[in-house]
Amino acid sequence: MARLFFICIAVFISPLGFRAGIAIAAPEDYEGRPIRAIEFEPARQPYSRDYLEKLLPLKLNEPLRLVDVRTAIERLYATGRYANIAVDARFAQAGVILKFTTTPNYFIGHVSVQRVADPPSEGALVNATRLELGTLYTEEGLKQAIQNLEEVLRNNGFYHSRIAPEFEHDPVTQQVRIHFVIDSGERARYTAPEIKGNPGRSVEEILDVTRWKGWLGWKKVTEPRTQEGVQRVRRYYHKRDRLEARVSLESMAYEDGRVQPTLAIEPGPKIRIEVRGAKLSRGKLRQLVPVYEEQSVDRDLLAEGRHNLIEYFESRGYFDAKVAFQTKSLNGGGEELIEYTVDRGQRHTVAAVIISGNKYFDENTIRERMYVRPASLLQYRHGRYSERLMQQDLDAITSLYQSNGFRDVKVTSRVEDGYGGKENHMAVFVEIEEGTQWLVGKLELDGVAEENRESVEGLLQSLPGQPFSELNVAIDRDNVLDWYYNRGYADAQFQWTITPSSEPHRMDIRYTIREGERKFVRDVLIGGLDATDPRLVSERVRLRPGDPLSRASVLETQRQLYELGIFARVDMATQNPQGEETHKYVLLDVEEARKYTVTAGFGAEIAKIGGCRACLEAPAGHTGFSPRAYFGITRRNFRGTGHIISLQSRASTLQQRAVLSYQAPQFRSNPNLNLLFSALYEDSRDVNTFTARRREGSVQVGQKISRASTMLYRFSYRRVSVSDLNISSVELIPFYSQPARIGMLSTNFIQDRRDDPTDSHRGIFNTLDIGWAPAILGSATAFTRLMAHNATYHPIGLGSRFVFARAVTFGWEQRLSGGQDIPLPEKFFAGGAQSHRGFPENQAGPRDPETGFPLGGRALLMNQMEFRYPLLGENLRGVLFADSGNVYSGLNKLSLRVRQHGIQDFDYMVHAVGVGLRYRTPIGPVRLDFAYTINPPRFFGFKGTPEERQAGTGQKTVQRIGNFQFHFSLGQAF
Amino acid sequence: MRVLSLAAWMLWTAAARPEIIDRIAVTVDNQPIAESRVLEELRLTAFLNGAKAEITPEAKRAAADRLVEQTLIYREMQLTQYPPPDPAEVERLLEQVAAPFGSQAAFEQALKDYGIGREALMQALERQAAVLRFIDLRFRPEVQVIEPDIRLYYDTVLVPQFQKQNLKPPSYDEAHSQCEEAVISQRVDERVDSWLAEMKKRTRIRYEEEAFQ
Repeated sequence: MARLFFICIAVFISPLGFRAGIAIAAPEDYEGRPIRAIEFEPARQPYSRDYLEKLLPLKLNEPLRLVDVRTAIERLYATGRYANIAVDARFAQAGVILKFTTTPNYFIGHVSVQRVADPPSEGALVNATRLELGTLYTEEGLKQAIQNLEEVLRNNGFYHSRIAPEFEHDPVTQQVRIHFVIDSGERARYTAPEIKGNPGRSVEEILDVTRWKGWLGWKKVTEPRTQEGVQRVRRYYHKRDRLEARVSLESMAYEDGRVQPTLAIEPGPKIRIEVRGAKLSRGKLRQLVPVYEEQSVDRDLLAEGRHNLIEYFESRGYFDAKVAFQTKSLNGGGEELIEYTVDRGQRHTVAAVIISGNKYFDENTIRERMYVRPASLLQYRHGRYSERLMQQDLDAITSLYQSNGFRDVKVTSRVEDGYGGKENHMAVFVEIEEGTQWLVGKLELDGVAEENRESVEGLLQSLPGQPFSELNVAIDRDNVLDWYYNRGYADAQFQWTITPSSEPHRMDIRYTIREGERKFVRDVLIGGLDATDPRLVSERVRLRPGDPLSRASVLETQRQLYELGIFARVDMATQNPQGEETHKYVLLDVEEARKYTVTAGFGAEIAKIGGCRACLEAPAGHTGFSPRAYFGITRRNFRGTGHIISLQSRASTLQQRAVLSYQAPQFRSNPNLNLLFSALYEDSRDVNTFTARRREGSVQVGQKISRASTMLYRFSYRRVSVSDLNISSVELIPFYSQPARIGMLSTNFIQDRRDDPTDSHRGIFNTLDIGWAPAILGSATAFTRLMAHNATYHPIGLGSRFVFARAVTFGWEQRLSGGQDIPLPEKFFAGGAQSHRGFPENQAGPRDPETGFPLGGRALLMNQMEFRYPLLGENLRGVLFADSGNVYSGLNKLSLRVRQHGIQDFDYMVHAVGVGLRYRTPIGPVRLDFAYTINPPRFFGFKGTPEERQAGTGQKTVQRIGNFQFHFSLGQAF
Repeated sequence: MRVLSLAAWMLWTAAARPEIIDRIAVTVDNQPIAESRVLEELRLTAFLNGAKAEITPEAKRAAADRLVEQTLIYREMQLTQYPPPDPAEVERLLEQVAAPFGSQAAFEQALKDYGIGREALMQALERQAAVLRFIDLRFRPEVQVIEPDIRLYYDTVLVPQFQKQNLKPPSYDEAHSQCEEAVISQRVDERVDSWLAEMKKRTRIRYEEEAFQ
């Protein structure tokens, strides 16, 4: 401070010293002379001449003031576009000519690195440079970037890397593109680690754990491998109850292509945790006592474990549970015993949760916010209660009231045991004293420009007479600031004050807004494009020169570019963020995603899919097993257009399928249109009756009409040949065996308003598919097809825990001309996990009169109803369902009757009821359904081989679909 | 005639030769400090210290260093919204500065001799008041002084100073408040120094060497 004080102290010094004076410096000679010209060196400046004239305080033919020159330098520098500025003057034309000599700043544009052997990945190397898009380029920053890259490379075994930056300067935009050329050299290999400390294990044992040495010798050094090795050693000790073990990597010493890691290991004492007074699995104990997770033992963690144990027992109905812990040192300090003593007390049941005192909100509104719940038969057999949950509920209710103006609300709870005269039954009473509702008195809005006032006022919720709460004020603040940020006011600020109004229970509010300077787009600079057509990107940029610099437009641009699916990263930033300039360059920098994606996998299917192709004895299918393999390859961003070419194939004992597709998402730059060409080859036996070989080509245009509604317009041409026919009709065999050609125009409307498509709780889902296959499009048999589906989902009770869901599906096909019948594979086949659970897969509807194999139908009607309910905890749910419907031989045969009139009658409605389990997973519920078919169809089958049937031997038998069916799959039924 | 022409030509070229009248001397992140500002600081300091304003590279560098520190403090004041000094306080400081000159005319003449404008002096005094106020509000409350510290200062600094001048030192009780203030000032200085050092580490400060030649 002395250095800053000295100016003060100086005033007491004698004025004698002032006589000394100084010589007048040369610049003062120019003071007051008229300015005849202002020049710039170099002539190309970051701004136009007009802009500079407005920016600088120096005016032609006006007297020069040196203080204005200083201001001019400060203003120019404040723009952020100059690294250095000097002003010189010379006498001329009876005045003075000024010249600004400037050095430009450069800003970081696209940063790229030459790919080296992975790891490190290209992205990791670019991130390591820490060169931020749009920020000022400096020598120090570059030096640091190179050091960071070297460190990352060293960590991955590249100890002799050479890094050379290459620059591409754009003097117009002052952007510098930096490419790091990396010669990584050879990757080093590990060698035997040095172990420090007292590990209690041999070096060989530790080495085995690290897996740094394999069958073929020492492995190559990579950062993930090093970290994983250290982590493995840590886990090795923890598994042996050395919870306080300290394992750290001290150094990596390099010599002659070998790296010797040094590990410091202190195993610490053996920690044993025991629970007395209650049974608790080891897994649960690990979950509840955080010393395992934190890998450390201290009093705070042990206390947290005690708290968690109390909560655990409370959640199981032991609301009086008491837990204490103590630590004991055993074996001379080599072992530590942590003993939790549990006194569970009596088990209680929350018989009732009684809410009183609420007038403004109804009871359901309050209960929706509560975790404490009374006991229910299935989900919480003892109810749900703990002190923490109760406090959370009280806070939630208080917050609900406060956000609606009840500033003085008091919410308390009490627990009454022996409720209803029953021992260990308790009631939780929640008592609410609402107090008086506070309203907004006056609202003042300061600092808003007149042209913005109406818009800003329209955003406010805390208007006079409305409930007053800090929450509403916060909402106003967010809305107002969003409005400003989306209009280029990047520095807008919002402050608020409140004062009690003159009227009782009213609060006056004053919002003070500092709008700040509005920023506009100077231009959008796109970087990082390699294979992609620049037009593809520029068409999706929602900012144009002169537009306000809107945050929403930036986000929208990023969203649209990500939606193309061809970019791994889309960064946007303003160039020169600190610079004081109204028009900013917006930088858009992308990293193109990998062009090829290869997927492969194996799986299996267990269902009623069995039965040999040449056998006739199981028309309804046997339970069978079908292994399957998948392979897919996708080429993204084909020729830089953003289009996708994909080949997906699947092979199993039941199906061989390959689809080649060409997809143009955001077709013609319209985010709501997409175009798809596809070619399909399929050889499948998903219907037991026949083997279908399908070759299909199609073109489809998808149009998103609204967020919920989509239209698909499709033309498909397919050729389907059928073999292994298990039907008896001699006259139909030649017809069905002929390859069928179908050229179909179809349109599909999809409306999806479900809250969650994988596990819906509310909403509606409709589809309507209409197809027309006329002869002029190449169809041997002309026909039309209509398929309509409607499903709705209705939550029941609090928190959507119970759901009633229903769905109706209707299908109709009509032959128009051509062949005798609609080709077999084009008919409706249904039944199974997704349509009617009373049938095995594709077993509904008409059947062959002799062999009993399904023949498909020309009409379809299915009705499904489900009641979905919580079963155990949050993840396991139950379902009661009733499916009814069938596939019918024609629309005129569609019937709701429940009895089968004869063994050849399949045109009746089959009903099934059942129960199911749903286990929630991140990719949707895993489903297991058991169905009981009330009126399954009976039919004639054939006992014998096809040869026997042709020879007239063998035996016709009456068969039926079994009453019990099971289905196992992923996702809800509808 | 030829000589006269040559002389006239030399004068003309000398007059027409461009001369740098101002430039950036230091930058503190995105804030520039002009060379003219450095010279002004140098003159102001000389004026207030009653010393001759020696315009040497070293003196310019020292003036620039002071301006860098002022800039850092000013920036922090703006960020944390410290209130500006009371104009009356600035006036009082001005009166203190002008008082030793006896008359307004003498004071104005001294300013002129040093090439300092009255406005520049006022601004400098305002800055000084703001900085002192910031230091007082920001760092002084952090300093806690305990009795042994005061005693130590008395025994190791104050008493030896008096003894050096063969004067009888005041008693500990008499010098207590003076010693306490001195210790507090010392501690505040230390904190300011350490804060400035930290700020300098986090700030991009660049000196343009040609401005210091």
